[in-house]
Amino acid sequence: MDTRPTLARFISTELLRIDEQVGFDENLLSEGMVDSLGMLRLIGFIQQTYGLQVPPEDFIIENFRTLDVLNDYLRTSLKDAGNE
Amino acid sequence: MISTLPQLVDRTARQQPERKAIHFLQQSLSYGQLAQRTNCLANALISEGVKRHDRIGILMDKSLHTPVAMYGIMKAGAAYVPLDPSAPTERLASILRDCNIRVLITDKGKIRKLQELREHGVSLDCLVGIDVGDDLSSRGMSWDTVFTEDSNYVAGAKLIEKDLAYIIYTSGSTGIPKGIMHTHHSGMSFARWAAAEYGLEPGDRISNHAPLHFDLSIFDFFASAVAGASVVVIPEEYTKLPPSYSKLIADQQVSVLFTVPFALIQLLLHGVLDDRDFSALRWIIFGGEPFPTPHLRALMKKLPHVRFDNMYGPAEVNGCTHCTVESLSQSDESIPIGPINDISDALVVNPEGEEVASGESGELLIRGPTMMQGYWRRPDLNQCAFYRRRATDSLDEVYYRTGDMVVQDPNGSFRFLGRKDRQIKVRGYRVELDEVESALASNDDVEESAAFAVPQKDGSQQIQVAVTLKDGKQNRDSDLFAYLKLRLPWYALPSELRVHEVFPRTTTGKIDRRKLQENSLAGKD
Repeated sequence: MDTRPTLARFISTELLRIDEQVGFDENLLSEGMVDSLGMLRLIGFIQQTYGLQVPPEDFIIENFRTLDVLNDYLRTSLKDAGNE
Repeated sequence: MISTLPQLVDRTARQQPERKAIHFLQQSLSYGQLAQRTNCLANALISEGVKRHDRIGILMDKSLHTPVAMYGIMKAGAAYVPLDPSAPTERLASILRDCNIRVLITDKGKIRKLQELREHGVSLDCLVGIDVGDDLSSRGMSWDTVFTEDSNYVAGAKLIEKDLAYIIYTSGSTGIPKGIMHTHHSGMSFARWAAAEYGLEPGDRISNHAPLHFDLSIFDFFASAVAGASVVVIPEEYTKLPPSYSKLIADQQVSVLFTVPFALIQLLLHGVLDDRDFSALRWIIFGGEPFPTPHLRALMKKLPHVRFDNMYGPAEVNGCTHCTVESLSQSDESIPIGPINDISDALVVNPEGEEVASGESGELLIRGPTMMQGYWRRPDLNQCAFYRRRATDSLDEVYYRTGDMVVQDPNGSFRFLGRKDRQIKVRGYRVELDEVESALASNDDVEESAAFAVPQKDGSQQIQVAVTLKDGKQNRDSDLFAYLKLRLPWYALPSELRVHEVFPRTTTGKIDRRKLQENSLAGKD
C-alpha cells in the first residue's frame, strides 16, 4: 500500500491550503511548511484513515520528515498490526 | 571595558578558548573557534565593501553558521537584520528595500526564494554561504572561502556602543513591517541584566528555540555570551514534533529553556516528558504571551525541580519585568508579569497621559537602557511610540508606550490585562488585526473585510476573517486564502475565512466585529 498520494492530498488541501501537491521527498517540517498543530492533525487523519494509532514515542522527526519516510514507517506499522 | 556584543565572545575566547560556545545537534563550536570564524566573516564582508552602519541580512535555516553570521556582521561594523525564511516574498522584498540590504548571509535551501526576490526587483551584490551561478546575478561566497580570511583580528571597523547592532522587523498595523533598532548598548544592557538576574554561569547550556527574527533569541545568544555559557541551537524541525524536541533538550542537557507558552504546552501534552531525563534543567523561562494557568500548573507538577519564570517585554524594550512562579493557587487567575526591573522605570497612564493611582488600570510605559533607539526610518511611528515627560531637571524622560494595559498590585508587580489596540499574539508573534484586514482590502474583488480574534479553550487566540465581495464577484474562500498567503507571514493567516453576503452592523454603521466573534464562538455563520 502506498499512503503517499492520500497524505499528500490531505497536507496540501487541509494543512497548507495550496493547490499544488506536496512532493514525496519534500521536507514537511521546514520553516513555513506544516506546523506543530498541523502535525497533530496529520496524526489524527492517519488514525482515521488507516485505523492506526501512532504512539507518542514514534511521533519523531525520523518518521515524519517526508512523505517517503512516513510511508515506510506506516507500512511497517500496518504490517505489525496485521492489517496488510 | 566591554561595550559591544562581539567583545563578549572575544573575551571568553581569550580567557578560555576551548570552552564551548555553540551546540548544534552533533556539532559544536568553542569560543576560540567562534571568535576566529567571526573575524573571518567580518574581514570577508569588509573586503566586499561593507562599511560601518551598513545593514546585512540573515536569511538562513539555523545551523552552526547562524551565530557566526550574527557576530561576524557586527564585527564588520554593520547591523544584522534577521529575516523570516517562511515570510512571503513581497514582505521580504519590502524589508530588504527598506533597509537597503546589499549583502545577505544565506544557504543553499534559499535559492528559490532568492530567485523570487530577484523577480520582485531586489538586487543583491553578494550572497555569503552559497556558490551561485549567473542566474542570481550576485556574487556568491562560500563559507570555505570566508574561512580562508585572516582569523586573528578584524581590519578596520571600530565599533562603539551607540552603533546599531541589529534590526528586528515586526508587524505594522498598515501592513508595512517596522524595523526595531537596537544598539550594542541596549542589547548589552539587557543581556547583562538577564545574565545576572537568572544567575547564568559558564556551565549553563541555554536553549535557542526562537528564530533569529523573534526577539527571544536576543536572550539566548547574548545573555549566554555575558555568562560565557553555551547555546544549544534547536533546529526548526525539532520544534514541530514534541517527542523529538523533548529528547533533544534532555540529550543536550539544556539547563535554561526559554520559549513561548505554546511550545511548552505542546511539550506537556505530547512530549513524553516522563520518559526523559531533565535533571540538568534548572530554569524554564517563558514570554511572548500569557501562559494559561491550568497548563502551567500541570507542567510545574511534572518538573518539580525546575524554576518557572514569566518574562515580559516588547521587542522595543527587551525583557523588562519578570516574575518567578513560586507556587500556583488553585484559582485559574493569570500569573503576574512581575515588577519593573531595577535598571528601568515604569509608568501607568490613562488615555490623557496622566499617571493613574495605584491599583487602577492604564497603559504601561517603560524607560531604561534596554530600550530601542526607534523604528528604522519611521519618524511618524517614533513620534507616537515615545512619550516625553519633563523631568525635574528640565530634561525630558523618554518612555516607550507598550500599548499593553496593566494594573499594578500593591507589591509592585504588574498584571497584564490586554491590549490598547487590536494587536494579538499568536504563539508569541505579534499580529495586527488591522494588517490582516488591509491585506484583504487590497484585493480588487473584496468590498469590505473584518478580522477578529476568537479565544480558544487552550487560552490561545485564533484569527478569523469575514469578507464581503463587490457586486458580481464570486471568489472562493480558498482563492482569498491563497491571496493572503502571498502577503502575510504564516502566524498571521486566519484559521477561518468566510465570505458573507452582508455584515452585521453597529448602530453607528460600523462592521460589528464583536457580533462576528460571538457568532463564531456560538458556531453560527
